[in-house]
Amino acid sequence: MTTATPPVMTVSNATIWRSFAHAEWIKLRTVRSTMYTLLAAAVIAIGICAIACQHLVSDLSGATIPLKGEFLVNPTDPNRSLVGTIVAQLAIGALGVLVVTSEYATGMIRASLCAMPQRLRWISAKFAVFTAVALVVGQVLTFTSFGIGQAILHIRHVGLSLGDPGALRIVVASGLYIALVGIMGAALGLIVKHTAGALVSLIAILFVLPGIISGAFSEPLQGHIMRFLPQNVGEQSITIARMSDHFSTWAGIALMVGYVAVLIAIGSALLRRRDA
Amino acid sequence: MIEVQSLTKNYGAVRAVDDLSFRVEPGRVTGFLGPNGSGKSTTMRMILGLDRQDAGTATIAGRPYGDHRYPLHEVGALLESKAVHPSRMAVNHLRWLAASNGLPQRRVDEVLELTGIEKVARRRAKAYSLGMAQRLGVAAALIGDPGVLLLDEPVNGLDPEGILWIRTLMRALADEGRTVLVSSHLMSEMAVTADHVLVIGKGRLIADTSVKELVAGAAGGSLRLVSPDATELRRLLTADGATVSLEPDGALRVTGLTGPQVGELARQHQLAIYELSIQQASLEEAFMELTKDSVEFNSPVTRNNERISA
Ligand SMILES: Nc1ncnc2c1ncn2[C@@H]1O[C@H](COP(=O)(O)OP(=O)(O)OP(=O)(O)O)[C@@H](O)[C@H]1O
Ligand SMILES: [Mg+2]
Repeated sequence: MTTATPPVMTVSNATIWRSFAHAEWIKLRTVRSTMYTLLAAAVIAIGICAIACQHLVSDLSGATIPLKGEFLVNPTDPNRSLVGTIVAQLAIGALGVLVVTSEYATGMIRASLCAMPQRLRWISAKFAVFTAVALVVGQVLTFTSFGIGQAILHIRHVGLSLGDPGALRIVVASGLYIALVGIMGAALGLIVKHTAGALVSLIAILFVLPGIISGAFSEPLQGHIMRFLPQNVGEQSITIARMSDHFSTWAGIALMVGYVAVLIAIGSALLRRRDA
Repeated sequence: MIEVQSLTKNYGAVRAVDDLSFRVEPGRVTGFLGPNGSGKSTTMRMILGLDRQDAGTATIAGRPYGDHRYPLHEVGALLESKAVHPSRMAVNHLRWLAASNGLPQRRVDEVLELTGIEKVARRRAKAYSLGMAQRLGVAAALIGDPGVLLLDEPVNGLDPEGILWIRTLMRALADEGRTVLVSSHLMSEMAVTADHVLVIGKGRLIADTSVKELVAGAAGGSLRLVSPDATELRRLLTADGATVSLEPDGALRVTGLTGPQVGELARQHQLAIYELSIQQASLEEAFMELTKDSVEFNSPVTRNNERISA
């Protein structure tokens, strides 16, 4: 262990960036609500998935099994085991919002910028840390949901395994989608600064926009527009079959990455200019 | 050393800081004095790169704040508003600060001990009293063992013990050769804390002077003296060239001699002194006189008084 303070002027940019990321990692870990939010996301997402699959199983066990055509046509539609992503995306999105807006709400932004005055370097470190966490959490959630859900379906021999065509794709993609919604929340937090405002913007983009567009446009224009919405990307990300009016799974994920990149760019530009 | 040159900041139509220039030298406590809304906090935020100035420059140790690679090694700041997440433990607040500037974690323990909050370090910040929060703020400011300190109204809301603690600390920091800039709107506080003062009003520099001069000027060199031998002392003081008048309560008001000179005189003649003090009230009066053209919020009472006396 070195005890001497390193000569400050010779510290490399990469070292400084790592220090900033380390600080942001400590910040993320040391607020209880982070853990609660993640735990809630996991419990709800996996719980909903288990309930949905259980429901499907009990339907299949009834006397009317042969009449359950929709299940028999596609008895292993795995999105049953990934419906929890809808709730999980909100929880991670809210966490993303809070990671940034709590800086402003608590006045901590001043301490952060006094310690880390190179603002773009700071915000990139903050986003990198949150992105890493969101990616891991997203994958853990979707793999666990899939595993538990399909295990329940296996009782009726209608479960899928990861080796089945398209299964791995939707598990990975829906995990990515959850993470991207989280980062979108953080980017909106950077732009709006206020928790409530950023949360409302996120919910509006995810859930209100589809309603507005379907009300305002008629087919086929409606479908062409709807495919650009995060909601449709999310739907396709949990579905093996290619849905109409949706981009393909990976094109949709790429689109989300693009949206998030634009929002981060706007937020960073504002951060550079604004008084803290 | 802090150098501010032609610093200007507008908030919409309000000019918060107006072409402000000064230097803060190391090795002494520099008071930053001005009435409410005169631009002290804004100036400090600009020095720290938090607010962007509209014109001018501010440098610490020759460089703008943002050019310091690990700034906590050189600059520590205690700002007016709390800058701590309420549900984070104090020790974790200091941990991330240390990590952000590549400081060893032992610095966290050191500043916790230095500020006397090691026992409550594992409490969440929202459970802190005002005094504890202020100590945590000081701990955060000192974490990088910086040569320059900026403290925005550090004694606000503190009890006498806390005030004394901050005063002693600032004195010690300055004596170690550090640059200490501390803001206040109480002249009497600065008179006992600072060596040098910068007075601002409406964002402009009004005075840049030593506390000695300011106090002498402010109180007109006036001292309050209480003694059982008042009559004898009055004679001796007058003979030494002082102007002495009698206060309603029997105390003497002495002008033209310093406290030490009066004390020595009394000792030579073996006369008792019960009280010898700078005229605090007149200090505040002088401060108000100095800044009266630049106070932002004139209360109706003050204005009426001015009209009556005018
Ligand atoms: N963020 C802001 N937005 C708009 N106006 C501001 C802002 N910050 C400060 N001001 C204005 O700038 C002026 C200077 O304020 P500042 O807080 O710097 O004064 P101060 O000397 O610190 O006062 P106090 O002794 O009350 O702390 C005031 O008129 C204030 O209203
Ligand atoms: Mg202030």
